[in-house]
Amino acid sequence: MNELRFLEALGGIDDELIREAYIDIEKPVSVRAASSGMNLYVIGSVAAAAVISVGAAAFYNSHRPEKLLSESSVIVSEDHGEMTSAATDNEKTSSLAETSAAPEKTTAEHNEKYEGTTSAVITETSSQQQPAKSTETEHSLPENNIPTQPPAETPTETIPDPANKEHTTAAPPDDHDGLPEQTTSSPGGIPGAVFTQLNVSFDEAKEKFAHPIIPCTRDDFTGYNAGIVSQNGNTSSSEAFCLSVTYVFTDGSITLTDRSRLNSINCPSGDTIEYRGRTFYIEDIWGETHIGYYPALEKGIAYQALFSPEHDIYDIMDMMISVEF
Amino acid sequence: MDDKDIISLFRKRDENAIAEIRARYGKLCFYIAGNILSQREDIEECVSSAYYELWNNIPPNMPDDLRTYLCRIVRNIAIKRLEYNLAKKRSPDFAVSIDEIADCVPAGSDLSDHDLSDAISRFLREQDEKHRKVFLRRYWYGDTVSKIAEYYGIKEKTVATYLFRTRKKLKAFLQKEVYDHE
Repeated sequence: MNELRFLEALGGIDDELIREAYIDIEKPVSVRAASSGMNLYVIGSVAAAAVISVGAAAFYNSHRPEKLLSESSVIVSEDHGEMTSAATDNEKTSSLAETSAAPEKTTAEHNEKYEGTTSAVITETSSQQQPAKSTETEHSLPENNIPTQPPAETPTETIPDPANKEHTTAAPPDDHDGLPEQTTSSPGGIPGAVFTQLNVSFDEAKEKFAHPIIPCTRDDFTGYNAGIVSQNGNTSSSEAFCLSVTYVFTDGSITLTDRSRLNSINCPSGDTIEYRGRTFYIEDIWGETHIGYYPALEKGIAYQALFSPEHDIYDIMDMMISVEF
Repeated sequence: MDDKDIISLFRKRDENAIAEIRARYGKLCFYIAGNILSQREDIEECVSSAYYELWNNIPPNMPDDLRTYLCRIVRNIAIKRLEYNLAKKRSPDFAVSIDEIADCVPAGSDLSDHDLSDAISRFLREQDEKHRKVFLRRYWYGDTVSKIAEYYGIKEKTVATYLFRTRKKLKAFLQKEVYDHE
């Protein structure tokens, strides 16, 4: 039996390892102080939600919303961030920036974090639009495209799309006025669909999302984000719809995605854990803990959590269950 | 009487060595065996066998660390007893869930026990100290998750998370070892 073989083999490990783990059983002492890494480090909602945003963009690439996109559409994400000085979270920002375009790297090197709007911009790649070699960045939107209140504090990440590199050359502008920006896929100005994360109240999230949601009262909970898919970033247009709601916590987030809005199946991956009668899929993504829970495997709401690796996975699963409707 | 004195008694074939070691490490031996075996008779037999083995081994063996040496003997005997109990379908009630560790060693692995132990040692040395200690407390010393949480001042769920992650890593590490070996 493998398990017994393992126990026997473990019996043959080095003395020093056994000594190190020795505890005087008659004087149990807490060694918490010696374990400096025990304290949860706070990544901040910016970094965690950035990864979620990237995940959302990748999600779109494989599962395009039927309503706005053709089969030939792909997504690029666009940075609308404005930089504010912040000493915290630079480590996470830096690690994220490694996969990003150069401007983000510069940001990380200066120990700054992003605050602003994030959009995953979906550009058309049909034959008529192929001449486009780069995206155009505008610093203001047509008036009817400007949200009444600019979304605040959502993270950003640039994802070069390997299948469509010629469309992903936009660099973040120097000047950010807090307004969402628009990226078009060609000089002709054919608009793409935009995924925008908006900071919203619970009531707003509840109203926008087509499914019931449950309020969160945890101490480490920081707010709700609504993931809006729209054309030209016009989140208030009649065609715009809410694809996801994200519960943002100090060291991660949980996103509920409405898969009825997608025309293909989100296939879970990773190791599985059975917990409280549910199956969770666990994997590491960029050093973060990603946990997926899909009550109905091929439809309905997908619950996806992305947290700091220090965060206890059972606590994450409890949190996911607590927001399950 | 310290470990050196006890070893001297063993070398002189002085039977007081057993009484001394029982006084010094008796509780520890019962603790380790008790974490692996549930029946009191099994535990007592296991500890007595360990003393006997110690008597036979010293000399010629001269352990640098008598406590670890003794613990290892106790544990090995307890595991063998557990194996016997499982084979006889006698409920072992081992503190460590067998399911928990079923996948740690890749199926069909032809690594020798010595190579496997060596690989596990190398793997553990590469791990973060807190993960390593929690792993060893659970699978070497056989502590319960709640006990480990108490020892280290962390939540039980955190202990479970550490164990889950370390097992997962160990599995991948051993799979690679087996692959390289082949």
